[in-house]
This record gives sequence, structure tokens and C-alpha cells, in this order.
Amino acid sequence: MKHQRDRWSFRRGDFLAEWQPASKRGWIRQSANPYSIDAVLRIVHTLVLAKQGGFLLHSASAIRNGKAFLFAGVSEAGKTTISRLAPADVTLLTDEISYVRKCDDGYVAFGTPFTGELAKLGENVSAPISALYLLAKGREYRIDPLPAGEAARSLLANLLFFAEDEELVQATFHAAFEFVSRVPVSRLTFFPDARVWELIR
Amino acid sequence: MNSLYVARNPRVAARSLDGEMMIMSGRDSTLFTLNKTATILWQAADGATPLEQIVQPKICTEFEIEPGEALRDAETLARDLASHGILQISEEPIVRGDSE
Repeated sequence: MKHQRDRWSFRRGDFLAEWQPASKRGWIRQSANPYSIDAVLRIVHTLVLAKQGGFLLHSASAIRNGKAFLFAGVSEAGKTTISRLAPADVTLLTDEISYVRKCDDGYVAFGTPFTGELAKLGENVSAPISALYLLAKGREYRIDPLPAGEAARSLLANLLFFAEDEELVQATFHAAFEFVSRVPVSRLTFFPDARVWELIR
Repeated sequence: MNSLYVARNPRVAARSLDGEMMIMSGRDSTLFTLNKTATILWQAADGATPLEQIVQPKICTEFEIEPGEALRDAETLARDLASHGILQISEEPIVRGDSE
């Protein structure tokens, strides 16, 4: 990735793209596959959100009772599993990459087209974020609040970073601390069956 | 031996949370969590105070350690932090305008 004057340019083996923040326009030249545009969209949105105090997070997210819940973790942590186990009254926003925007009175999660193993698009809706859970598979169901330092470290470990750009790194770093000061972060240990959703309300 | 001066690198992002100092490199997004000694060093690293004047009142008193040994350890730590781009070190006072 390169940032020159008023534009960002991205190059990978399968695409070449450019994004101009001021005009909110860009272009992509890619090979015939569905993944390149997906990657470019992820990159562009990390740039857009960083400027607004938000971020993309490696997490599933869903809405229940008007509140959004985020479920973060690395691959195999259970993002797709918990999404698949969601009961009928839950609206899935994504099973892979959550879209987190800062608003006046907190943070809001939006549906995304970024899918994981579930291969199901998120609903195009949003809700205020009520909690962030770090997923851990286990033999029981429990929620353990995390100390602020551990919460910040865990959040930072799951953020999507693409740009080696000091200004953006600083913005995203401080956004993570702002987030953990306003949204409860806990570890959610769960055995993979539908009962886990009894804890999420 | 010449004095060593240490300054916080303005190009990193830093936050203290519940007494834990966390620093992220603006260069490659690597996250560092500083221990107690490194945190003291970071907070005192104004570029103008020689390292021995940081060690004596802030580290020796905190950890009840002999000044010579504390200074050697602090120098090693400062050079290590500098190698990660967290601190800047110099044998001359580090003026803010020169460090950016």
C-alpha cells in the first residue's frame, strides 16, 4: 500500500487499485475472481473508519433485542460456530469481519458483505454495540469480564491493519482504547451448542 | 563515560491503562507492553535529563538497587527500546525539533 498526496494505491498479485478519500472514489483493475474486490473493500474501509474513530474487527457480530454483540477471535476461535448456532430472533451482521463505527454516544455495528465459512451475507442493518466477547471454546458456558489492559490488547490483536502509515496506526490505536473505555469486553467460554445464546441478551 | 539521553519517540502511539503502558509502533503496528522499569524510563524520557539522573531518583529508590548496576541495566533497556523505535537515545540532549 502507498499513500501519496491525495490518494492511496494498493497492489497485490491479483489486483491494482486506487482510492481517493476526498472524492470518495476509486478504481480497481483485477483478475476475474470474486476475492480481489472483497480485499480492496476491506482495505478501503479500514482507511475510512480510521479517520472516523472506528475500525474493522476480526469478529462475528449479531443483533438481538436491538443491541449488537461482537464475538472476536482468530481463525477456529468459534466465530462461524456461534453465528451458525444463532436462534431465529438474532440478526447476523457477519461471521467474519465486523464494521464498527463511532457515534456521539457510543459505537454502532453494521452488517457487512464480508463472510467467513458461513458464506452468508450480513443483513444491511445496524445497532448500538452492547458488548464485545472474546471467544474461547470450553466445556462450560461462562462470561468473565476482562481487565481494561487485557481488553485493549485483545482488541488490538483482532483489528484489521493494512497500512504501514503512522497517522492511521495512531488513530486506530487510540480508537481501540476509546472503545474499551465505553464498551464492556469479556471472555465468553462456550461449548458449541445453542445454549450459549442464553447468555447473550 | 558520556551521559546517555533518552527521549520518547513521537512517532509511536502510547497509552497507559490501569498502570500498564502500551505502545504501538507507527512503523509496523507492533504492540509493546512495558514493564514497570521500562514504564518509568518511558515517562521520564524527556530528552534533556541524563539517564543517571533518571535512574538515581526514580529506579534506585523504587527497586532498592545499587546505582551502578541500575544504570547498566537502564542503559541496556534504553538501547533495547531504541532498537524497537520506542525511545530515541543520544550522547547529547535530544531537542524536540531535532527528533522529529
